[in-house]
Amino acid sequence: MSYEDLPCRDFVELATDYLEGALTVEQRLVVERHLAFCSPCVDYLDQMRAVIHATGTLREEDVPEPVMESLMDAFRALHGRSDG
Amino acid sequence: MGIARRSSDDELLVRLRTGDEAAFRQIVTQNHRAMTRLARSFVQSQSIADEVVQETWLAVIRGLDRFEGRSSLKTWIFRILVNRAKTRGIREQRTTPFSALTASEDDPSPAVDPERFLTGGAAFAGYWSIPPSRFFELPEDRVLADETLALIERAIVELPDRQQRVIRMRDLEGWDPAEVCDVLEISAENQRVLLHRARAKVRSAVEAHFSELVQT
Repeated sequence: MSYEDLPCRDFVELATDYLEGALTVEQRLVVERHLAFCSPCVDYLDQMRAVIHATGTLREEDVPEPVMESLMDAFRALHGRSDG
Repeated sequence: MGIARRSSDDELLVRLRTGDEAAFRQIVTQNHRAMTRLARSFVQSQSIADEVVQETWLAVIRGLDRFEGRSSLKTWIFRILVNRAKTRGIREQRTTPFSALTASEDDPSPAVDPERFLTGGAAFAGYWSIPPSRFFELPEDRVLADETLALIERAIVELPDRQQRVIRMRDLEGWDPAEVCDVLEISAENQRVLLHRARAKVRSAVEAHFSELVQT
């Protein structure tokens, strides 16, 4: 197998499995050989990594205070410390 | 990592069972937003999603003493949530029937627009004709600008429900693949297919967003 055996169009469909470590050994060798010669596909992976990183920054921890208060009340009712 | 997480789970569980309010506040803070999002993908309105999350927390509070630690505390909570959300979703006639939830994806479109590749019988058919831009080389505050993040959020919201659940849990919440499979009751392969479709669309939207900035 060589670089020519994996057109870029097919590489992009393997990109997630590659990043996830889910390829077979043989598939991974073909992908890595392709990447060694194909800088646009390396750029494609770098795009993917940048987007994954950016998506991670969207994570929010936010609980409306009235919701939190009613949940705390429910928690205290069942597990509350008598000295609390 | 698994062992470390399990032992911190054990410690957290002891605190919760002995009525430690800070511990409870912590698990609510960490999970409430993600639970609300996930519930919303199964039911037809935000108010039903909020009810499902509320019911789930009450079930967690009541079930703490019975929790056996076979899964992580987080996956236990989310499995309760998904079970309740599915029950509500089916009752409200929103979720896809189980017969439609087979391994094949609802959306078999390619990850990248076929026009980006050379066609025909040329020696390089299937190779890039319009290669990926290098927007990732822009300064990080440019890549992570509010405008980009809003665009990513919009791209995620437009995804089919199953893709949206997976990309939110994996890339937004940072879950492990096995946890996602466990909570959503999907195979590892299906999880990857859904993630692949979802990431491809978000990537494509981000690349298009930066297309005027970056000459390839």
